[in-house]
Amino acid sequence: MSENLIHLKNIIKKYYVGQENELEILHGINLDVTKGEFISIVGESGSGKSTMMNIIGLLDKPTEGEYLLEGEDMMAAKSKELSRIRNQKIGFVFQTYNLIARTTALSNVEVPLMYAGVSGRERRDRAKELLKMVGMEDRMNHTPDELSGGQKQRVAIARAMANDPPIILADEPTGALDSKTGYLVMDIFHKLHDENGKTIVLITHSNELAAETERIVTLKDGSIINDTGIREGYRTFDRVQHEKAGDLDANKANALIENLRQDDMKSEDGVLKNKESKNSFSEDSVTANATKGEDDV
Amino acid sequence: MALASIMGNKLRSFLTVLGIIIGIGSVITIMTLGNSLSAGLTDSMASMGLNNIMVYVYQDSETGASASSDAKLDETYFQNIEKKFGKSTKAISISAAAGGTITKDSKKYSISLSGVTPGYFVANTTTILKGKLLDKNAYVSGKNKIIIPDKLAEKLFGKDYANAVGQTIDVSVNDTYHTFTIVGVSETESAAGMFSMQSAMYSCEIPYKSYSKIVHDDSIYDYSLVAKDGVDTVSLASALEKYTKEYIAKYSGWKVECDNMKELSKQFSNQMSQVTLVISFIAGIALIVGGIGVMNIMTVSITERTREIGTRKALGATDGEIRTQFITEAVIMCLIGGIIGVIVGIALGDLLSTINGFRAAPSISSIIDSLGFSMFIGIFFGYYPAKKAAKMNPIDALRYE
Repeated sequence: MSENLIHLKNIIKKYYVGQENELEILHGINLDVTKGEFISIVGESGSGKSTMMNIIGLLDKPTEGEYLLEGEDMMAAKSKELSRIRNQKIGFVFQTYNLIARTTALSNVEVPLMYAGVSGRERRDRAKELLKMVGMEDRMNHTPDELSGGQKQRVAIARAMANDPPIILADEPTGALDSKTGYLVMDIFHKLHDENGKTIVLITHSNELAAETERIVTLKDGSIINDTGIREGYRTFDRVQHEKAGDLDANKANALIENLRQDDMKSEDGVLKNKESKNSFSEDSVTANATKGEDDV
Repeated sequence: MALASIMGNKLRSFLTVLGIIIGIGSVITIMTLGNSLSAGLTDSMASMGLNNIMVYVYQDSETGASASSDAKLDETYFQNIEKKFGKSTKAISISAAAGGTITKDSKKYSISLSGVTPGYFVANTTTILKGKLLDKNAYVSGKNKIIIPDKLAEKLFGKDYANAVGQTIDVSVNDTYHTFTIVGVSETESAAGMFSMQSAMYSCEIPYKSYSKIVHDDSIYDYSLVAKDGVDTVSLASALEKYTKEYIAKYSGWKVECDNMKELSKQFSNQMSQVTLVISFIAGIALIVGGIGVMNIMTVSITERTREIGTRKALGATDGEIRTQFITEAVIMCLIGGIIGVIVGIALGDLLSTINGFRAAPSISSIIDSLGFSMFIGIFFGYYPAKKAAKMNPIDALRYE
């Protein structure tokens, strides 16, 4: 568990370098993420979290600093190598889903496999398997405009998992969804983390979502102002149990989470009280959720 | 994948490739029509005899006024020709024609009366339906014997014209009546292709001697020489021209011209291919305009699909893969346009060539060339937009609204 996956050292990102309007977005970020973490990067808009995500996701290069991904130096990598690394090591989930229009869910999931050079038949089988995992096998031949937001995001998660990358990089994955659907998507991330041992980096402005994660890194004005480290018993609220009991009310749940979050802030060591809810996430509950998700189309 | 994005926007894709369809379609149509015209021409020329060499002597229009007396081709000339070129000559056909009328049941029929030598029927393929050709005796003594075409025979003697042979008819030439005995009925040549516009006059043949008696003129200014098979007509024609020039050198202001069908048909097909070239060039311009249309739509499409490009890059596509994707799309679009164009061209070419009278198909090579060219257009005009797509910054592309 202690294997170092992401190593960012003194990362500085400047725009318009050398020009009058030179702008420094990140002022020396230091961050190490070990394998299997569920980490959230929280910050308000303009805090530099999007730039962080672009750098971690190899879509952008830092102006200065050191970035090692699985021990490999990313600063020296060429564009073509970066494409391959993105393909193999990073699964992107975007706020706006970014599914390819007029292309079926199945074909969308196949895209990263295609770029990885996987043969047609194998690609199809793997994509079906992934869609089944996110409960979308019934709609694999639907195009994005025939899917609801939650369904689209589930397809996007399946796509992110296509090449079984060590890192899932999710940028406001629930930002465009209603809270109930948002929980469903979050549950999938929890499952990927708990059961598949994926490292998940969640970029969000929502403290509520961040509270569900193992480790919270708070960004402000381009610097890390707080890093909780790995928190024990981070699962603050088991929505699944509530939903199973049939008393899920989005507002109530939100209020509950908000309360818990405030409690969390109060507790000095960042360890939460209600440990008993940890690891109650099970295969059954996901299936139950997935079926529910279909209903709210 | 490329196909899916083209099919996703059918109307736009169709309008985009319309230029390609028109360009390729017109090239194939013109090629087919050209083949049809050539086939018609070759056929017409073959019926006139590819081994024929036509020799003319004529007054030079520029020095016409000062020309000395007539440079007739006389008996000595033909004897010399026989001596010099006899080995490669099959026959010599001398003919001259004058207009005349035949009146029957107060109806007048215009005919063309051709005075001919035996060689005429060698130089011009003639099928005798009833009776026979003019006999030797008729040529030598200049008897008033005539061969009439079947169409005229139908008019004069009814549908079967069974009793036509042996009958006499009066032909009026220059207001003088001459009585001829019909010896044969010939099949009217089916005029085809571009020669179908020739006059609908009934053409009748009589011995040259009787002709010269009727018109009181035995001057010969032109004749046809039928070369034996396998003789090089082009060099024979130039030798003939050279000799004839020498022969008439004593008459100032006269010129000689020798034509042969092989050369004419060669010239004609040269001109035909020039016409084809010019029209292909124009069609090429249509294709380039079409290509620019494809480029335009590709540019628009790439702007519209900016997010898709960003997503693909995030998912691991290299610049090269993005470029290949969009070039492939452009090529497939152009190729579809090319295929539709070929189909349209074949259909239109078939229709027009059927109207022309000679059905012809475009050559396989022209179809392959057209498709190859439309692919080339796809690559050429797809390259720039595809390169633009490949160079997009994935972050900007992902955030594009």
